[in-house]
Amino acid sequence: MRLSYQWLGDFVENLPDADEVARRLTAGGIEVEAVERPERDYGDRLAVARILSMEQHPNADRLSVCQVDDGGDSPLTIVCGARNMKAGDTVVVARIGCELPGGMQIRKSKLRGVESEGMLCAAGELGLEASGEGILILEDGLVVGTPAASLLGLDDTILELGVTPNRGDCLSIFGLAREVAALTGLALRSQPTTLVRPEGNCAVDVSIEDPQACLLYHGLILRGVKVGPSPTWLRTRLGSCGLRSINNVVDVTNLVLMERGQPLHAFDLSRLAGSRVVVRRARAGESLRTLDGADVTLREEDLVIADAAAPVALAGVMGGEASAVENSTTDVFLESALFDPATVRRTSRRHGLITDSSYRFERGVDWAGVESALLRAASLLVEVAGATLDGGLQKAGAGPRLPEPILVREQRVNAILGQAYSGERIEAVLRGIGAQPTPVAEGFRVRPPSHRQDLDREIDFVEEVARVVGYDSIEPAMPLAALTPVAVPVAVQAANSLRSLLSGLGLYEHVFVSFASDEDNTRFPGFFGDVASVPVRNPLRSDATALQKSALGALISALRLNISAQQKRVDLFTIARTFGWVNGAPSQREIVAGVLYGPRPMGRPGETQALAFPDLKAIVEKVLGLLAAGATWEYVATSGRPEFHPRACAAIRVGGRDVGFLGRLHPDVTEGSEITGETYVFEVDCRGAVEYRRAHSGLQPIARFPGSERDVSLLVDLEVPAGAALQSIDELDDACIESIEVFDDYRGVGIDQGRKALGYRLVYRAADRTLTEAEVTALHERVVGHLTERLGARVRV
Amino acid sequence: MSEAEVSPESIAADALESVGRADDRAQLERLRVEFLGKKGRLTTALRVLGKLPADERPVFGQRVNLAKERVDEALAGKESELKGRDREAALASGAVDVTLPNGGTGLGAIHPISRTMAEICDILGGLGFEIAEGPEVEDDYHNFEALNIPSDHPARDMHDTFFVEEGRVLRTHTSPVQIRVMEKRQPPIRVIAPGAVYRHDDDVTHSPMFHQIEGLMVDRGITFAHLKGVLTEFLRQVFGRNLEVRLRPSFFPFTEPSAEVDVACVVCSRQGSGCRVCKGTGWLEILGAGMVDPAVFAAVGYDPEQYSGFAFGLGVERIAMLKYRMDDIRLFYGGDLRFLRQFRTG
Repeated sequence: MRLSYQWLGDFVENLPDADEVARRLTAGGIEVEAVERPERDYGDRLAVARILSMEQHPNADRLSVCQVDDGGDSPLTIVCGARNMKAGDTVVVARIGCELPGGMQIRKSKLRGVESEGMLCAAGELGLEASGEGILILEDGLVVGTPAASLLGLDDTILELGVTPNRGDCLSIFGLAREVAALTGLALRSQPTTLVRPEGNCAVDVSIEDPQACLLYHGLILRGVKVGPSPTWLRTRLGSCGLRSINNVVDVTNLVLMERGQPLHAFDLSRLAGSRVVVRRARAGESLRTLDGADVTLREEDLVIADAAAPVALAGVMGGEASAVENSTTDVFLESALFDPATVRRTSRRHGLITDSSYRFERGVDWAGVESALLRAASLLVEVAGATLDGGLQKAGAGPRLPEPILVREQRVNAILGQAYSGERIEAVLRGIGAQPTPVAEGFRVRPPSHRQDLDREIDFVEEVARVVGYDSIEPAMPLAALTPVAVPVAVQAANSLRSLLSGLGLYEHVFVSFASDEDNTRFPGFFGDVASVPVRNPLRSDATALQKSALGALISALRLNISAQQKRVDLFTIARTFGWVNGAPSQREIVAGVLYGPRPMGRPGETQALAFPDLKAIVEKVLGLLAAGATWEYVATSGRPEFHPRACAAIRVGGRDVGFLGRLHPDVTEGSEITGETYVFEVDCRGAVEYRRAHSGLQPIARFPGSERDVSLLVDLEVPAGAALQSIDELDDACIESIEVFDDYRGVGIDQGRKALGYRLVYRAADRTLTEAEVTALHERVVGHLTERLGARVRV
Repeated sequence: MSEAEVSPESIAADALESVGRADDRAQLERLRVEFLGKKGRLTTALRVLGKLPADERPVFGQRVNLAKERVDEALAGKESELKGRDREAALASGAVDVTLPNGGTGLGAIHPISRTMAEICDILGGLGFEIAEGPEVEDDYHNFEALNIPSDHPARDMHDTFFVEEGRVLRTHTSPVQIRVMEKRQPPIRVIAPGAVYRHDDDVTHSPMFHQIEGLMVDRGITFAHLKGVLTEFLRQVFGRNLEVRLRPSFFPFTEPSAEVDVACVVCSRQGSGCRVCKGTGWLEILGAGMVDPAVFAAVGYDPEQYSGFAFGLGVERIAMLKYRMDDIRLFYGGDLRFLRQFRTG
């Protein structure tokens, strides 16, 4: 909402300066988002003038020489290049010394031998919206010599306001004047305007078929209307609100809309079939071409204004083209009505038509102003369009049901605000905002003013007290509360620890918008496999049509970006939410995922090693140790996942469930992209893994007796995983086998094709004594015998 | 044997000279044997003792012992000198260039949004607020209806919404978590809900997904003055001790009275009229807050006559952008290492 400071001054006595008005409005909850100050002070250097004569320039075909009366002692001689004016026209002259927007200086100068003593201004040269070619021609009747800057609003200050949806009453200049008065205690000016007095019958018959949706409908007839351009003052007022002038009739309805906040509509009476107005729901199959030329197929829920034959306007939203006022219009039916906010809103949304009118109806229009706004508009049309009133005011509708007075308890006001305001103070605030408080035992019974439809509960008045007294005057206090333990949820704690861990391991955290394309979700199904994505019905971009099923797609995108930016090593992680549509409802998982790319640095500068699976596993191992402390997990070779290399991928299995995947990215994913090196990724279900956390089971005694190490090298088929021995050994269930670890994986010279040599180191130890050489040897033979059988191995000697 | 040959002093003088010339510890060992060994020269010098008259014996014995002591001292001194020299040489050969890079992968970074969120949660945790969570795909009821934002109400215009199937939306704020907490628990309540939210908007200052932290305190006797107290304390912990905090009236359907909370511009401290960050106003809008609306209490079955409370919501990106002087929100979500490296774990 744009508020002209000068226009506001028409309504408020002794208005303080614009900055103070801005400060008071903001402190009162009407936020001033910006202040547009006048670009320059024109003083008297810009004046209304009249062209006395206009002649061809003696030395230039395209120039004229004008004698111009600017109210001075003698006419000015002005050379002008425009052609659209004639002798007798009223124009704006920039006198010598004037600086125009854009920095043009007006100097006395000779143009082709003729001295020019000023300049006739075009609208664009004054920073106004240009409506046509040539210089600006004003209406006759303006006094020459009048400073033009204020007439054109060039010295006005505009406050750009953010009006919250509850304050429909502040969507007009008068409404804001009322608000400024309430906040400052200043008086509103009495309005000297004399209004027309309609009398007699109105020739248009009005009926309301849906009294819930149309609460009031007033109309009157004006005849002899001369449609034409609006006077300058009217154009200036509209311009201050950011509205363009259309013609005097439409401009008057817009002016009253902006001034009073009451939407109006002017129909060409000759186009209203049967001189009837029916406010009703649209019928199936009806349509309307609106003022902006769009054809709207009406729905039965739409409220329309219809004549005897068909809809002529979408009630409260926009008029129809067929009944619009045109240059040939002479008789006008002027409408001022009150429509149900929700009905207007639904129609406006349904047809994508958001207008100044619908915006105000949605936010609540003052029922008490319906009639006065209509009379104000009619009076203006008499003034600026030469219209005469024909007959009386047509009124229909019962009006809104007035709310019961609301009990506002003094104790309640103070209990919510934490203050000790007296009854007198509260009462003064209530009166200041135009409410009518009646003292009762507990406080007041309050009838809200008709323009404040947002005030219908006690709490609304509590807010009014705080707002008008000023939030600044409320002293801050700390609450007293019972001590309660504050436990950080395990998952939140785990996420924070993961961030420290992974950033300490050299990975950078990536945060990204959780949208994905359908292709991404197919390529990176995450933990959701074949289940459907969670779709976004109104995506902003065609590659963001669903919520992500996995974070890997976003990580790979970031990898690409970084490779394009010449990064050689890219290690990223994220803690993100992934989504799938599971069993008819959206399901959300929190995951930790990462990508590793580029050679790993080694001990000496410049030395690197190609990235390999163990680099990834080292990181994932730490992630699991953090998330699922105390649990045991295994890595199960997995193929068939679309995002992973079929021979270099593992599922992480805990308690029979897959809580994560790690491995090399499938070459198909990176084919043809800037990602040329091997890429390793992982994704772990944070909360899934955390569930397997086990509390510490208590300390085991520290071994007191020496253990014995024995190594064995087993020749096995290439397919046999090294880890198979680790599980097989558990089958022996011998307490003296302390540990087994892989220390070698050799293939090549000396080993048959298709075989490999796996070296294992075993530690034997008893808890209660030192094992004898013979015992260890016997146990080791048993172990080797068991492993060769289980793994199909031979002992390599 | 001449007197000179057996004179302990001259033997000692010999020894000291040899020790002085010695250059390694093996040589020292040989000298020890030569002079102090079982058959060493000073040991054998004592053998003449028996041949001396009885009254000379004690004096001679003393001279030999003194000589031995002097030789022993010289040997020990030299030994420690040589040992020190060897140690120096060994240390010198172990010199490293400490300015060479480490062999590992170096430090990574925690994202500025995560850092900011953690910092805010820590501060509010210190004030007794507990973390609560809720789903990002919300139903219309929790995101709007229960928060006193009915359909067909213009307040819905304040939320540009992403729609999902079956009456669900991507939550437009973290406020639905308030409802979910109050549905499950009775007062007193002190919770914060950090998380991602979604708005149908994308430009330099708006991202379709961003992060908020919601706060809610409900108990008997909670007032607007308490809201002001807690938020002032909180913001001063985030931005600095003497920060000016300003509340001004605003509108949120789920709070009343409602307030926008501004802090004095952290860049110009309310000085500069040309400040880009606060656009010359001297104030930065930092969060929205208010007293929980009775309609919200009604939705969760709390008695507004018994309980009152306040709620607030803040944008994490907004605070992070101020802290790190950023003017393009999209930098957060690009994963660009040139950006992330500036937040290396400290």
